[in-house]
Amino acid sequence: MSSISDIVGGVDLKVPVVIASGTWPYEEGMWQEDLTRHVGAICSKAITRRPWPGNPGTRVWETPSGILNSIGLQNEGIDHFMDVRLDQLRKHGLPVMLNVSMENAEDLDYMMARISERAGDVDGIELNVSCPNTDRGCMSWGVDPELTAQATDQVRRKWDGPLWVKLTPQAPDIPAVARGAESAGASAVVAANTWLGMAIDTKRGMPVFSRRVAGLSGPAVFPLALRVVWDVAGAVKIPVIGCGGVSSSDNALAMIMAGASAVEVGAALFSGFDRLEEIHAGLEASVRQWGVESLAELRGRARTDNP
Amino acid sequence: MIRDYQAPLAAKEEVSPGIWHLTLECPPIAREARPGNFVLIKVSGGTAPLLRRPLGVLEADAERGTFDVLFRVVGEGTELLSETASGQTLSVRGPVGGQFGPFRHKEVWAVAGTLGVVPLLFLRQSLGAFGRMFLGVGSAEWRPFTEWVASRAPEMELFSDDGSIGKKGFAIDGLKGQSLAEVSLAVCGPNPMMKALYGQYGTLCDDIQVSLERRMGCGMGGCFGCVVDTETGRRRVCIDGPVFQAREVKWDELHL
Repeated sequence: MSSISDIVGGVDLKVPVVIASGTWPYEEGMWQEDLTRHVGAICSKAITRRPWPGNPGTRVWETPSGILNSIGLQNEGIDHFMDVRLDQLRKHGLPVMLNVSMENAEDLDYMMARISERAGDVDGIELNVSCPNTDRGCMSWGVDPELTAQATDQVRRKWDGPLWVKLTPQAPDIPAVARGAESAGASAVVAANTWLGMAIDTKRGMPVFSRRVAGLSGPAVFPLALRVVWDVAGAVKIPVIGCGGVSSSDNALAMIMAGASAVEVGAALFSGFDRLEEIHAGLEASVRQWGVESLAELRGRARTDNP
Repeated sequence: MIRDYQAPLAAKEEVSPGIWHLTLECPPIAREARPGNFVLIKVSGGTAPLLRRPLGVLEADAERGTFDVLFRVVGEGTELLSETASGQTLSVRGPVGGQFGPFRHKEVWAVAGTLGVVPLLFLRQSLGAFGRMFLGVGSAEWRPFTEWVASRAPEMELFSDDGSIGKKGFAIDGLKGQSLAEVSLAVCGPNPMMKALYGQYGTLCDDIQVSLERRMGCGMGGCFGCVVDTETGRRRVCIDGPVFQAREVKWDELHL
């Protein structure tokens, strides 16, 4: 065990930095040690019951220190993932979190049945009840504590391994949703997915995105995400994984001091792969600078509600 | 393999008002880049702009360890990039994407819309010269740029929208009345130009290779932000393209 490694929500993270869903390709060249030695796990792109084409039209739009996206869960479906991708990704030796997104309970049942067939080969599930870019399902679960608990419970009945639930900041009461996930057996919660935003193309006089709205991520949302992490960490006993605009070791440390056990990074990697090494090295340095044995000792350090 | 590299700016030249030619020192990209590939350059040290700017590779010299790009200032990002001083270091992601070729025919012609000429000039290096080459620009304001292209590709035939320089018309007008049965076309320009080209010549030429342009997020295949509709589904321009067979592209779905 190094000073920063930890088991977070049942997943052994040699570095408490996880690549967020939807930001990393499956192509072999991007899973080489020079990059992956700085991360503890990688989340798959969102996986749905059936192959899904995602949204038409413009899908990304740059904003000040941020990016709006409306990808809409384009993916090859659970069958292709389990039959082809899983072995391809597993061989790199890094924990892979299967980001699972569903429209309805039947979808989830089918996907869990497929995953259960190879339970021993799956490192963990990140239940995605938070993507804002689809017309049906997904975020409509995550805005509601009861529905989130129901979905979490449904996974738990088929899966006793690591189960992270990725929350949405669109929920009116995010801590309540986190408690819903916890009560139904989640091993950890990820706080959080993207913020709903929009953009208008003033040259064409119309919204940029076909669904009008899109999800905002990147450094611009970091203070918003930090506040969500703080609130959620105060509401649940299971680990919280901070996600939203983390682009430096200082950001990551702030998340940890707010109560997170690990962080996810996504948009920062669009800007530079060097962010991974900087966050990794910076977290190790912070353990030394604070004169503690492990990063875990700094968890919640900033909390005024700490005993 | 796609990686981020620190690349010192070895030389810069404004070849035409607002059009810059940069030479960057980066042995790995100089070695690996192929015609059609592009790089994504980080234009500032901070988080704004967050995204890198994708630019086609103009040429690569493995021996000198340098590669070149050419771009036009069109917004905040390219403005910042144009202000980079020689000797300064830029973060460059690449090389990204597939390449032009192989071609079905020995005879390869090029059709370029303004800056779309960049990857075609790189392709020209490996071919020696194009059988024919057509470049389209707006007006005589583009003269220094067109002269710069002509100095590198003397076979270039010029068209302008208003006829103030070269022939009046569009680059694709160069194909009018030509026999294209034994010709491969390499095309790069604005998406509407490529759509029009395919619409008019798609049945007359059986090898039309187009390099597409889309807004991009990650530039490494991760985000699926740059997809286009093709006969085999929505595919990423960044690493499944940017070069596609024109007949694979669902042009009516292409958001221009």
